[in-house]
Amino acid sequence: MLHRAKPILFTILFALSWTLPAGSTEDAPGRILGGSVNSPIRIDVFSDFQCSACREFFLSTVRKVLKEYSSKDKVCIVYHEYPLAYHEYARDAAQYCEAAYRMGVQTLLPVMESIYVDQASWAQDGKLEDSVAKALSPEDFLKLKDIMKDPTINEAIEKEIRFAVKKKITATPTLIISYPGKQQRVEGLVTYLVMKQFIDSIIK
Amino acid sequence: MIFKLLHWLCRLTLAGVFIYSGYIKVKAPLQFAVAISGYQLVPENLVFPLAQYLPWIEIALGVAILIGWKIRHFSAATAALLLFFIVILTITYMRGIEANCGCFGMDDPISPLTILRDGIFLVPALYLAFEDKIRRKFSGEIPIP
Repeated sequence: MLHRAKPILFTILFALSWTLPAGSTEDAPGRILGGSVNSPIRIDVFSDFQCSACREFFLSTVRKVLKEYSSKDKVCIVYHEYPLAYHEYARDAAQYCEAAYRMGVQTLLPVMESIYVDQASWAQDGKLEDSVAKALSPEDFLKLKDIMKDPTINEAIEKEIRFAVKKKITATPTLIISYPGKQQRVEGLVTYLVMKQFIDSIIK
Repeated sequence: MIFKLLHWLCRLTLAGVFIYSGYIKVKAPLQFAVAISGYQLVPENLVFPLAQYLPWIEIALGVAILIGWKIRHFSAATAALLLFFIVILTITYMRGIEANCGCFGMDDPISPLTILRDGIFLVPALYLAFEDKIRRKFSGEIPIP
């Protein structure tokens, strides 16, 4: 029996050993929120500021991963804007964050946090400026408003959208997780505990 | 002849389904973990371990059925696992939770069709588990005491 089963088992094991190679993301846009590009795990997050699952994912998972893993260069988180067309103010939010990013990641993170925290409010009336102002000093806020006038801000968002389309992103949040020799794509909300168990299973 | 044909049809279908389904999940355990979370039935700390190990059980069952090792026992185990999936899918659907089945990738929301699909897979599993009895019944053989 085992003699006959050997070729079948070999074929199955060979098929199982085949995995997707880690995709090249060198020419990709995106903002590094934390961790070095040489971290063993890279998480590309495609997100929309007006999506409730993205809000939950950023506030409950991303923030903790940045604190627990990215600060130790174990996980690199790269954030990609993917404002969905039917979310009226998502692109405006993305533009504010692009401007904040141009002032540095330390400016970007509190702005992102404030925008996500206040999502329910600005998603109704579009008053994003209040959320952004709350996260910055008056001087930084004025500087950010000045940067917002730059037409390349919108071009950067367009580039992000084109990149997401190229990657066949259809839902938010979508994660593309790259780690030695492998890459996997995840759609939907990943809680911090599940993400932590996954990360720990890779970096031991 | 017809029984032999039926036997191989059931065996290859079931083995193919289980190996393929397990393989997809082994390749993307985190995606499967998201699907399991969606059912809102498993404690959060067990979600990822389940997503890691359940696919290997599926593959092991598929391989055992394919190579024909203790086929009656493994088919019965496969039928039990399918019944378990059907119950879980039905409970989740009845609770009105919009979750993904996670059975063959992510783009597969739970619906009566996904439940029916698992029900159809149950047929070959039950046939292989009770094949001796079915053959005796239809060919008029006298059971060996």
